[in-house]
Amino acid sequence: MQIEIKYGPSYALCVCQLDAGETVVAEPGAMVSMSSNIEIETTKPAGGGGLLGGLKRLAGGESFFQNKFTAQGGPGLVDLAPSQVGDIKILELTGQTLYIQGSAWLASGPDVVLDTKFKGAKKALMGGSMFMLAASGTGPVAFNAFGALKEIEIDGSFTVDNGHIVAYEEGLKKTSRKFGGWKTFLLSGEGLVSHVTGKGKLYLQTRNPSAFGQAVGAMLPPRKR
Amino acid sequence: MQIDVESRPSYAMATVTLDQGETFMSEAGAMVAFSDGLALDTKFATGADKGAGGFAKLIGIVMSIFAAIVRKFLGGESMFLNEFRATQAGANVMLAPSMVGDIIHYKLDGEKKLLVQATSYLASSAGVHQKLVFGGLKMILSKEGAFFLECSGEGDLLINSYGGITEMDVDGSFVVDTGHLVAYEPTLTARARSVGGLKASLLSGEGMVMEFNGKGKIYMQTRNIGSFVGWISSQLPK
Repeated sequence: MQIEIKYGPSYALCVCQLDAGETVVAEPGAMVSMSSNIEIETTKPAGGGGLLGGLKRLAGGESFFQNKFTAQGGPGLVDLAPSQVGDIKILELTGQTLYIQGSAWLASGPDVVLDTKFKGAKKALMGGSMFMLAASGTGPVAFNAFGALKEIEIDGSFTVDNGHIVAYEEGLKKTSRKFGGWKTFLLSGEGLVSHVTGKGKLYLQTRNPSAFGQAVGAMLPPRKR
Repeated sequence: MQIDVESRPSYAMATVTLDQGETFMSEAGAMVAFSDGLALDTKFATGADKGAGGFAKLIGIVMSIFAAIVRKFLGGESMFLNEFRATQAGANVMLAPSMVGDIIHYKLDGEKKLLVQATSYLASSAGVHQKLVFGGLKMILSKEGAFFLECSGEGDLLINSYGGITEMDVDGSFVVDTGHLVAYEPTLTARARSVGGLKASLLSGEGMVMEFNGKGKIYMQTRNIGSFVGWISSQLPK
């Protein structure tokens, strides 16, 4: 499989070139276009754990099902795009684990295993997701951002606003804490932040979906229910 | 202090790297991430005069609280600023606005001043002073805030836009839609007015404009939040 990103960072598109018989797995709704010899199969993810696994994925901001695109009888092309404006990043997994914020997963190779991990209730209180998606196994994994993606090499510790976290490598550990002292916590507009420690790469998105939603939402006329 | 702005113009983010003891202030909610070695504090957006004492200081504090409230409810800005003070060299903080768009880095040299549309202020270094300025009654009619932050002093100022930022060196007269105005140098005189006669005001779709006269720089944004909100509202399900 050849997988590449075009039109980043504003309107990134994930272009997957498949050889005959090859498969790419994607988030439902992500398909933009494809060759006519591509067959779609909607399944629950491999090792997804049945009904319970599906519910867990829903809780993590992911879909219950995934779409599997397989090239039949020859090579084929699948273009994938996320719903929000922003960039996409592809990482090649070679046995290591990557933690991805639930709604940021876009696509992965067939041998990448996705598992939803509970990451504590504290985050849910401040708009962050309680769940992270753990991607392991081998093959490419594509994840998307709201805005541009910034890669930060951490060796020690670093603090991040929950709304800006996209993904991080397994060498890092994430805990929630309040931003500054109590006064700062209450007045700063930052609330809870994530404290990331260890060694590895952290991927940030340069815009915060809920901050954007609040900024635009506050200007919208009231809507009828 | 070093300031780098990347991912321009769509999703600009600023990384501010501080030397020991240096301070940077940002709009509440603008923090994306920060390294170790920073002490955090939250302050009223328009601080009291540090030099004053006794009664003058009290008046200063009351005025600053009042200005902060005005800033919040009329300027559309937060009442508070977050302060990042480096306790070790190389500490850094990353800042981004909530809207999509660009960030520009404007240097104040102690003489120049810049009037910034209140919602376009992102962050500034410790030497930059801000004062809330009323843009005039007519500005209330426009969808943008009627308030500007007058930034003076010496230091670095980060301002953000909705869309890209374009600048214009004016020598003479120039007219800008208020929804596209980001900042201007007060060597220019500004006057809010309707775009033309009654017919043009009602039918042109332009509404209020600012007419500038004199010599100085104007910064404008390539998109208009009011127009965007109007358009997206029409596209949302009823």
